[in-house]
Amino acid sequence: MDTHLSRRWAAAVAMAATLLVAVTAAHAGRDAARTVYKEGLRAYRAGDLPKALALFEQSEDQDPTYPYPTLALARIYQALFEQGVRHYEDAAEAYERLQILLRANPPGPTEQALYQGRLSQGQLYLKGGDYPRALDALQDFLRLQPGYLGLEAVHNGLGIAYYYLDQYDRAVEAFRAAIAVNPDFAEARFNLRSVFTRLAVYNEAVAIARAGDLETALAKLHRLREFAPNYLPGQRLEAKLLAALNRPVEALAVYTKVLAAEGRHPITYGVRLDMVKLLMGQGRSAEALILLRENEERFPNLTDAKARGEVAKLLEFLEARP
Amino acid sequence: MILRALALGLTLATAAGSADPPPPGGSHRDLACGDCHGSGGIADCVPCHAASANIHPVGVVPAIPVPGEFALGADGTLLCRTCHRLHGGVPETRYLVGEGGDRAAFCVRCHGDALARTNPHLARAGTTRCAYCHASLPESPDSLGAVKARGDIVRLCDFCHGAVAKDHPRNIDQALSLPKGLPLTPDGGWTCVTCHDPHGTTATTHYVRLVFAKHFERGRQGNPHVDSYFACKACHTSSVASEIRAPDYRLRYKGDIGVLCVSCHLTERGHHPTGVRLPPPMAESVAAAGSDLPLDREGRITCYTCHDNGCTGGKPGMQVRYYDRTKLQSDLCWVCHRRDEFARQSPHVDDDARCGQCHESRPVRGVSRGLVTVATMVCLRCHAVKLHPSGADHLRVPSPKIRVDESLPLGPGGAVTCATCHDPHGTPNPSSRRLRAGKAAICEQCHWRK
Repeated sequence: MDTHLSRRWAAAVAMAATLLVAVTAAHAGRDAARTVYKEGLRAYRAGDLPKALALFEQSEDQDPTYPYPTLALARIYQALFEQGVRHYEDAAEAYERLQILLRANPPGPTEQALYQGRLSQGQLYLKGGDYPRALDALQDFLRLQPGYLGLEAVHNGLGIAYYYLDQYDRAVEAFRAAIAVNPDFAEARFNLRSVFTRLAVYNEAVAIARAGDLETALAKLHRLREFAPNYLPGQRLEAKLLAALNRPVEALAVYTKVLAAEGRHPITYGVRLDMVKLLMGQGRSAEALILLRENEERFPNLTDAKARGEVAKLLEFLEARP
Repeated sequence: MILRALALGLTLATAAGSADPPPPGGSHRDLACGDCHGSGGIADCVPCHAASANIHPVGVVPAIPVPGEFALGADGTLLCRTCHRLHGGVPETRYLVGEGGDRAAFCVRCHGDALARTNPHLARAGTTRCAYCHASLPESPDSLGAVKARGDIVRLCDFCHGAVAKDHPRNIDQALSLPKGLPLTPDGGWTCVTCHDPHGTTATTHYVRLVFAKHFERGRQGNPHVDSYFACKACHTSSVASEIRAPDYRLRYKGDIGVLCVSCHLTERGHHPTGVRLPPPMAESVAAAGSDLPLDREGRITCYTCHDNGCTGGKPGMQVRYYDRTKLQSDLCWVCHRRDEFARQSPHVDDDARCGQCHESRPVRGVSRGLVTVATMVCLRCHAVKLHPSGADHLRVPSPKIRVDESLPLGPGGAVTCATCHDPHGTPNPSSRRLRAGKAAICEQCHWRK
């Protein structure tokens, strides 16, 4: 028994010693990395960019869990990219590494500034034209730093990403949010006006269609499609007009494009209903049934009792058919 | 010129006598046939059209299949006439073959949808696309200034954007001075890159330079619809009344009233259609009424059709035409629309077909649907009412002393609308006036004391 106990003691002592060595080594690694990082900062301030980059990379190698050299590398590569279109991938990769680090070891209360890396990352993607990733980064930053002092710039960045993705309604919301934070934020006012100038083409098409001139309205929407090919309300109206002009095949093609682009967007609830009517007119009830079921699955919380009643009736009718 | 005409006449006469008839499109501008068709074959285009002016490669075999309508050289190489007509065509479409038309649509015929993916402004693509616009690449950040464009900048941009033909910039007031620090030509002129940064921006749309966007937005918050000498210049390029005359009234933004109004009013222009011509029945109704509602030069509705700034009447201040605010009486709508059609059927019934009387389309909970015009106007189209209750003007933003119950919906900016007290979708009992609470209780929703 004594021998057994002493063996367990010995094992415990050995494990503690290993842990101590590991912790000491980690501390030594962090200290060394910190020293090299500070040297890198000095080189950067002195204008010696190659040396700074080399030191930040060395610091990152010495302690891969130390986030500051990674952030420094990302920022320097981003600055180089903004200056001369090079090093985009280097900056993007450094920011990705930083995100992995921060997810694994969330910064403490005194290190919240590290989260600003997410904002810079969003701006990098904006400048690089990678708008879906810019949206991810900026939305994540809003979630992490809701009290950030420059929130108007973050909302403005979101608006720009939505704008270039042809999601004008969301862009309007984002630019308005920026102006709500800071009414003097000129950029957002300018951008909002840009969106409205584009939406004016859609509004005119709606008005012309209401007046009964469907061909002219369609021509207007073709013009809109040239500079906003993914604007969903424009596409939906185009499909409706094509259907009204007795061109159901073309209408269905446009509707299908809308569903393919953003099948979960609320607008697609109505799109599917429009498609069902067209498909039923063509005797394609099996496809109509699939679309109705898709609506049921994707929009279970739409509480319009009347609309749901209609859909239920249609489903009943279609399911009863052989 | 006379010699040229003679030469052309002689050449055409010779051509008429030869086996080959003259080309159906006519000559190449005012050139004689012999100017291009020499004994040694067809002359190159370069003596007249500088090679540097051309953005697209020529003399090389295309890497992508070219549709049959585009002629290639005998050795399969691209020629100027692959894309451009040498005989006929119109300058507006740059003499492009086929129907020409929009430049981007033309290029898609060879390049297909991949054209959109070759956007040279996509900065993340790195240096692989610099050669679209630049003759050389910078070796280092220090040598950025040494990089030259492949040709004239406006021409370079216009190759894809066709901005000159679109009368760009329409939405920028050219009467504005330019801020300092923008890139100009050596002689002080401005080009596309004066206002746009072709390498991308992070704070503005259309790649507009931030310094320009900020300059453009200066002083937008001030109200120019007041009786002030200085206010005139918000809309006109002159403050001198005698100079502000028809037909252009010296309006900013090239006289485009829609753009002028939207330059301050951040609105989607959604509360009434603008920029569209009146449908024939409405136009007839307007003519029959002898109305003086102003349309633009092309007969389209503008903001000014319904809104009057009062300048011509000597009382500056925005107002709605034919609308007496003190009596809530509006005759404006009935100049174009037919009141009997509006009032014939009540929209306050459970009938989907009537949603469109007030809403742009049938509302579905969870999906926002706008009204066809501003909330108060929607109601006044059918309801002839006076200011109420007690003759008081409730249709405004309540004073800070008033605490509106959270259950009551307010309009844009927190203003009270008809629907704040009356529920248009509420009880069908007309004697209750569709009030959201009892006659006495509805007032207490806002007017109450601790």
